[in-house]
Amino acid sequence: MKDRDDAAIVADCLAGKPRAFDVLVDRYQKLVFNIAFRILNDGEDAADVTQSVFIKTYEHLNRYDSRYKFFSWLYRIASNESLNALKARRPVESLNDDLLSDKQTPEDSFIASEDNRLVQEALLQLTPEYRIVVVLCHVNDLSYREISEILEIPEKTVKSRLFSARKQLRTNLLKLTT
Amino acid sequence: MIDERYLLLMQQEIDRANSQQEQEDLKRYLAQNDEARKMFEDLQAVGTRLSRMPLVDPPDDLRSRILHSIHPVSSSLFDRTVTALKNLLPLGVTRKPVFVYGFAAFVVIAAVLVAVQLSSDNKINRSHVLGTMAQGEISGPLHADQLLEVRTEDVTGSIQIEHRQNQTIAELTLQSKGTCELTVEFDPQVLQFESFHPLNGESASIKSLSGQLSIAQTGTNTFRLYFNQDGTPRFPLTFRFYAAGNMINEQSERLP
Repeated sequence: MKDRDDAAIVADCLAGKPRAFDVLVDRYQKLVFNIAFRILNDGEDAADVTQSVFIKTYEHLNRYDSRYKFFSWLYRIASNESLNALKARRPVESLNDDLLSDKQTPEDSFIASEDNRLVQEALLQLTPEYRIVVVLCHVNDLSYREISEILEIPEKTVKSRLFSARKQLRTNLLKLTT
Repeated sequence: MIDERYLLLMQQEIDRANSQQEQEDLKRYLAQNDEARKMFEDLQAVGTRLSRMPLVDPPDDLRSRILHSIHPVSSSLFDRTVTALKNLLPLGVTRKPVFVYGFAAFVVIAAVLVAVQLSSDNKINRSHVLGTMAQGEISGPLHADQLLEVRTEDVTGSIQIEHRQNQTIAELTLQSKGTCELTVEFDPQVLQFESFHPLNGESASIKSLSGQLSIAQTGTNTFRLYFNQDGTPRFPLTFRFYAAGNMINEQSERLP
């Protein structure tokens, strides 16, 4: 079951085997979570977005076009949900629950490396349009064509955004380290 | 000044998208242009640092949260009705969730009432049902050991809590002007949210997060929240009520 391709699993779900979807959750939850986490920089928000992405995906499985890769469709939903959550985010004051817990959060393990922290900080200074392109390219390791399909923008735009984003990141990293 | 074509080749080189010919062209160009070489090295370094970013592990309970959200919903009569209605509605007709879910609730209630009328022997398995408005008692009457009262301008009602050996049950009866949101915070180390059972009412929906439930309710509703329990809770169940995004009331149980 694990090795079956995504489109066949979707077909099983649509044929009345809802539990087949669990394999897709296992296969992609970490990658979807990482898209959301890199965009939102908050583990709990990223988990909420990931949950919402899979619910929406499941509810709209009948709209999936098997001519395209399943993950492109899934990542498109993940990108849109993450960017929408970022737009909707309001500054709130709250207790930092992490201080009360001895359990290591995703943020803790992530910031363990100083360089990763700097890169993430530089990433957060990018506009959302640039940030999502960088995340899909470097975190999810997708090609220009795949990113273009996911974000529904021309490949040329993907390249130009990536170039501008990297230049901006170079500047941001320099500022952060000096 | 860097030729635009080579900016593109630099970019593609970093992303391993250059052909052999393009790689050689870029190499020649960089060998004779210091400014371009410096920029390429900088961009390559940025690319390398980005690609070294590790994948962050999601919370341990994320998988179960996702599956818990999906499968009860998929198997409930209510949501199958919602899906069917969505598919039946022609394009151009409003598909506002309030309309679709409200109508679906009406259809489900009507179906349940008809079924009860037709055969009193029919048993409806309500385990894991999420979001229906079926009338009736589930798991017998509650013998609440705590009663919390909610009295605000926007929402009134009561919360009864019963602690059983391996289970905690909260029954909420609420009446709100318009839509009221509330959160229920609990000790995720000890309590595991098991299920949501509306007993009667107009409209209530629930979202399960780690250590927190988020509920939206409209009008008058009675529903129960079931938690499985692996010990003695160290934190009380806390109910926070919100109207127009502002917290208007907070109630906490006294731990047994």
